[in-house]
Amino acid sequence: MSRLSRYWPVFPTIELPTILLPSFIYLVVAGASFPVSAQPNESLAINQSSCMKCHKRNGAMFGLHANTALAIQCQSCHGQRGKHPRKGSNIRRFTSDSATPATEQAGTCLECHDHETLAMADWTHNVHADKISCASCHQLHVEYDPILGITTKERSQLCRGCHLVK
Amino acid sequence: MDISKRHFLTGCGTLIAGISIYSVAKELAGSEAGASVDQTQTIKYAMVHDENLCIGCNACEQACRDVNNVPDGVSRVVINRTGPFGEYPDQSYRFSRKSCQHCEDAPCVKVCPTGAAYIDPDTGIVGVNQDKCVGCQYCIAACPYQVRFINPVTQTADKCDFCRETQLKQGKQPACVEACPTHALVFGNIRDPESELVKTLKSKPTYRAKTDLGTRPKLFHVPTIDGEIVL
Amino acid sequence: MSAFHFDGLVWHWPIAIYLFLAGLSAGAVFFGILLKHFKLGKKAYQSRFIQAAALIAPVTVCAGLGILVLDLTKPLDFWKILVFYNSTSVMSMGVLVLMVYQLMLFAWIGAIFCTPIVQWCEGRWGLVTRGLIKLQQWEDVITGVLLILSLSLGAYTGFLLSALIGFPLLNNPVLPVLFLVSGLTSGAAATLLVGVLLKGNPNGIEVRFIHGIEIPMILIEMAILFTFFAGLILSGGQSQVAAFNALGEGFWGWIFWGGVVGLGLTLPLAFNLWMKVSADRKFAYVAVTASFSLVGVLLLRNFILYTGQMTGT
Repeated sequence: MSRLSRYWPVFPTIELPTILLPSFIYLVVAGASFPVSAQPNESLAINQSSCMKCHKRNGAMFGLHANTALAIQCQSCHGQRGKHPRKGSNIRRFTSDSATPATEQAGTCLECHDHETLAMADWTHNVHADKISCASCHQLHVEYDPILGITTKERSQLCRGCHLVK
Repeated sequence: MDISKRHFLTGCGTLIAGISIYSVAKELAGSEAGASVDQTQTIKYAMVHDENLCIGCNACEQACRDVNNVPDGVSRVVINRTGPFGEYPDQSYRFSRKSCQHCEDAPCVKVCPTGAAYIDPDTGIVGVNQDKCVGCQYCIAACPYQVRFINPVTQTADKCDFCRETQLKQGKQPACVEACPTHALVFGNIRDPESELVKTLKSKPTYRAKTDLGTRPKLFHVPTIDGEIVL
Repeated sequence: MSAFHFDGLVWHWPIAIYLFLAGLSAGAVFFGILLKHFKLGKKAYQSRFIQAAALIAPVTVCAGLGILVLDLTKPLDFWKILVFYNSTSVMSMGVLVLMVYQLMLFAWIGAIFCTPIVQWCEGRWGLVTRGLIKLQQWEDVITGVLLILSLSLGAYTGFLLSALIGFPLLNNPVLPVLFLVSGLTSGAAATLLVGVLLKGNPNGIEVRFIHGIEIPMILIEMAILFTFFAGLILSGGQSQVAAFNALGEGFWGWIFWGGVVGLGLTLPLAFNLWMKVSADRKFAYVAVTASFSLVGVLLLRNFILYTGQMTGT
């Protein structure tokens, strides 16, 4: 359940009885990963975007958020292109040192992800809510967000990275 | 009075006299021993957990597990988390350390039938002598802080010993104290007025758990000050 | 949270059975001594009920100790409890009492059954005969010490739990008295049950004598039980919470009201009173009453052990 719960916020209104869970997992796995593995990632709708002409190296989208069924586009998160790349743009960048404020970055994620569900997955979401960006811990372009698989020890070290008092 | 009744009375009288002399003698010996321990002891280790500085990262628990070879499924130290308090996105949690309190008047030591649970006279640390422990679990039931457990490997009672056998022997601080990224844990000698521990105790308000039971614990907590007041 | 598995539970039902058996042994010895002293005298060994007590007491105390040893995480190291002592530990002192008690128990049995055993030996094994005769000479001392030890053992089962300061329901000064009285009741009941099973006369003087003591004892036990919980409730705080958790709705509430109060105290009291007024006692009456008492005491031990650990300070 733990792995699934991370993806749960995408379908915030669906509440399934536990008995349906195995079949649900099968549907998600079949529906989500099958196309991803069957086709090269370049053929995914999101990776056909014109953004990819320049952002070949770091723009390609893998993993769950690339699922065609979600119909996520680059603009869905990064915002409208505007005058990018010619002049200074309003494109949202998701990093811990981005010019985009942490609250705005988090706000983008929270359009789909429900904060209560996030809190259920991990209590630390609550205390970091408007203080750091989601990208400080999470990556979503990659096939599999590395933070989902970290050990408890790595997790403590992650806390230490910011909270260490010298 | 026939012979058997006299036998009986003599027997009972001897028994009662024996018991009373024994208990009085023991009490005298005990009070002397207790007083002398208190006076001459120059090292008495204690710990402060600052609940305001703690971030609940659990680094202490993992460091303890590694250093003291604590098996999975049991733990010598746990950080209990309560909350969230407040409204999203301004929420906070409270953290409370649950581990051996190294009571001056330790219930586990009192009830241990073999004397396997003992207070180390040199350091005031409550220890477990694994060779003497038979696993009756009386100490586990007697500890009001519920910090004792049966180590699934040794099958004996186990708990925090302030890393007496590991870190302290090498002249280092306990593993949890070294691992804490926020200095929420302060360990030291309560008899030494210059120690960071005593300075912390004198500069911050602290509380100890369940003092009404007369256990005189040596684990101090700096109470959380932010968030709502819980009655 | 289920009735038998919850956070903070350390001691499980084997401990309750051990407490039950130790109390039962003490009770059987207590009533055996009283029967011999007040009613039977020198011919006590002929009584089925004395034989029952002499059978039950050692068997139950050994079985109880066996359970206790098996319940250790290191059963093979049990001898360390016998070698190392800690005078502040109720368990350690209890073990000491148990050891002396067992010694005295066998000495007592040897003393009261001296005549038939010596007859049976017919002059063989002179050492046995001489030893038994020596024991018989010292019977009064043995009896006196054993009486004190049996009462200590009965109370010890309660002190063992009341030393747990973290649990307000257990850490209660009335608990040892409660366990002592209920232990004696169970001993009386077991003596009667095994006595009639051994074809003892259900209308004999032994039964009448024990029943005569049983009625006030059940009343006292009820009063102690009332004091026990009234005291907890009036203490307030966690003591009150503990009392309500134990007595309120739920599995253990049913066990208490139905099993301990109903089956274990009220019905035996009613039967006893009925037997007192009716002309004679029958096998079924005595056996059923005794069985109810025994079940009631066993349930009480489990009830106190489990509900006691349910609520901490």
